[in-house]
This record gives sequence, structure tokens and C-alpha cells, in this order.
Amino acid sequence: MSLVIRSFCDEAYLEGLELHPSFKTYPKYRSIVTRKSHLYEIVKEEDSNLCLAVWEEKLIVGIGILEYPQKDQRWAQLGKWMMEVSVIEVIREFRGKGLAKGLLKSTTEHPLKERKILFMVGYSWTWDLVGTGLKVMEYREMLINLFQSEDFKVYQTNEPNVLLRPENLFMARIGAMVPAHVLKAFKWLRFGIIQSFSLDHSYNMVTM
Amino acid sequence: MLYKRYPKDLVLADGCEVTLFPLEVGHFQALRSFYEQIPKEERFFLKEDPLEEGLYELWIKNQERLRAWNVVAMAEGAIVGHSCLIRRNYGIRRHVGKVKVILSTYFRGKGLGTWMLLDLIKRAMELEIERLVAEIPKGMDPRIVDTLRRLDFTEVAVFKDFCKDMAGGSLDLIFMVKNLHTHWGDF
Repeated sequence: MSLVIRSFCDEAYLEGLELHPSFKTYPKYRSIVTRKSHLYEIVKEEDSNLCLAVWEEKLIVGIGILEYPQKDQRWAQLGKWMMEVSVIEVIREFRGKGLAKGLLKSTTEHPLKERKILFMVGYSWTWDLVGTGLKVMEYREMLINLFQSEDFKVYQTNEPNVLLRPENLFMARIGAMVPAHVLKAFKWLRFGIIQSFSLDHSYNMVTM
Repeated sequence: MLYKRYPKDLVLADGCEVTLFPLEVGHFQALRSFYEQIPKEERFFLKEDPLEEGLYELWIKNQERLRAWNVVAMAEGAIVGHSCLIRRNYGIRRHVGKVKVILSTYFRGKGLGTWMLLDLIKRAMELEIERLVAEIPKGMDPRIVDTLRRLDFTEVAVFKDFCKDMAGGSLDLIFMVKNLHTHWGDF
């Protein structure tokens, strides 16, 4: 019996895999990824990291995705300085084994990590409260502990979706090589204030 | 767990940068200066005289006993806001928390009060408080009631002529409540 976590999965690797049937819609919870085709889209994205936990070299039982934020999201305004951990999901049958921690570690282990602000948003309406048996604040605490293991911190923001519920969550990890002016822009962006200077230009100044 | 969430950095609507900290002994001098700047008539709306000797020590003691949670907002080294969540650890009201937010006059109308209330709401949920209460004497800044309404506090009662201002005039007391939920509904 083998369980392998693999990062930077490509199309060729995906070919031989199946999505476990537990990635589906439950009465009070819906998996974020329910189609394998979604994973093919991720691997095509620039700089993205699709990380998979694979059981018996065949079945996908856990998924981690790091990608640039969607263009309509507030965080896209900081250009390529920000990348989102958009998915960390382990199917119900494989929870409680520390798999999410391993997945998150591999998902955020990116060569550009120290030059990026990695972030996550936690919306309580996407949480599997029934499957975990946790209350919303317990689930929130679990998420905070999980992401703190990779140096993420809770940050305040007035992003409207985050503000919809008090338990919603925004966390970020600031890379060691992110320059001060980007940090300032990030701080202001969290509160909906857009800076006028060119972030893309600054980005190009950094040797990648 | 209570302390590890702080400090919390905020940027207000006008770009002012403010940081939230849990109240500590080291803040006493700044807290006194803060309350000295609050107009006397407004201080009279509070249940305790915030300039009374020994009061801050009592607040810290209540904090240690988990009966209160005090947070101060600081900007450029000065306290510009003070919020407090008061709870009982015993009895039929142990699931109820009371909120209080006081802001310096310059920092009103910039959203700081909303941030401080949001902070208290999260803290209350972490403490498994189910109901939050705010008591507002009529005559205070009307933006307070408006802000509380936007955060889903609802007026459940108005006690007519319940309070008396400094000059002895009667004031109504508005009683607002917000329910906190631990689960989503089934609909």
C-alpha cells in the first residue's frame, strides 16, 4: 500500500491517475475539485503548482493547488507578486493522518516562494463541517494551525467576501525577498487602496 | 490563544495606519491620555470613570480571569481607540457578551469602530459566546447605532428615560443584540 505526495504534476503524470469518487457533492459540502479536467487546466497555468496525494499509484486522494489569483480578484492587482493556495483538500477517508500538512508543504515549496506573497482565503461556506464534526470557529482554528505550519499569518482585510462572515479568514506568507514597496502595496491593497506606482516594473527589476 | 492573534494591522478609509493590541500594563499612561482627550460629557456615558485610579489594573485583572477582553488601537504611539468585550463566567448570562468601543474624536468616521467591533465579534465567537449586547444611550454619536446595525445588531428594546446625563436630563437607552452562530443553516 503506498501513498505518495507529488508536486509540480504535469499532464503526462495526470494521464495515469483517477480522481477518487469521494471528490463529489455531499449533502452539506462540495469538493472544490470534482472533475479531473480542472486539474489539466491548472498544469497549463504559468508558475502553477499542482500537488497530488496519490494512493496506490492510481487514485488521487488529496489535492493542493498554488496559482496566480483570478483576474477579477482584488489580489490580482498586485500582479505576479501574489500567488494563491486555492485548494488544499483531502478526501474524508484519508483525513486525520497529517496529509493536508504534507500537501500544503509540497504545494508551497515553489522555487519562487521567497519572491512571492502566498495567500489563502477561507470562506466558511466551503468548509466540510459535517465531515469533520467541527464548529466553524474550531474549523477556522484548524486552518490557522495548518497554514501557520508553513509560516502563514492571519491578516485583516476589508475584501467583501472575507467580511461576509466573521469566521472567514485571510492568511498570507511573505517571501523573504519581497521588497518593501510591494509589502506596503500589499498592506494597502488589503484595505482596498490601490497604489499608483507600477508594480510590474518593479517585478521586472528582480532577478528571477 | 487570545494573545497570539495580535498585533493586527489596519489601514483606515483615509489611509491612516492603526494597530490593535491587547491591553497591557505598559499601555496605562497612553490609555489615560486617551481618556483625558474624550470630552467630559461623553465620558459620562460610560459605566465607570475611566480616569479613576486603579481602574486599569482592575481591567487587566478581569482580563486574566477571562471576564473581559480589552483591545487598544494605536497610531503613531498614541492610543486612539479602546474596545472591550465583557462576559460572565457563571450563571444564566454566561453565554452573553457585552461590547464597548470608544474612539478618539479625530478617528471617528474612518471605519476604526467597525474594525474594533469585528475584532470583538471574532473574539466572542472564539470564546463560544452566543449573544452580544450593546447598550447605547440616546444622544451618543448616531453613527454608532448605524454601524452596529450594519454588523447585524438589532434593536430589541428601548428603555425610555432610563439614563440621566450630566445636567440631569433624561435619556433613552437603546439595547441592541447580535446572535452569533456556530453552524450554517440547513436551507
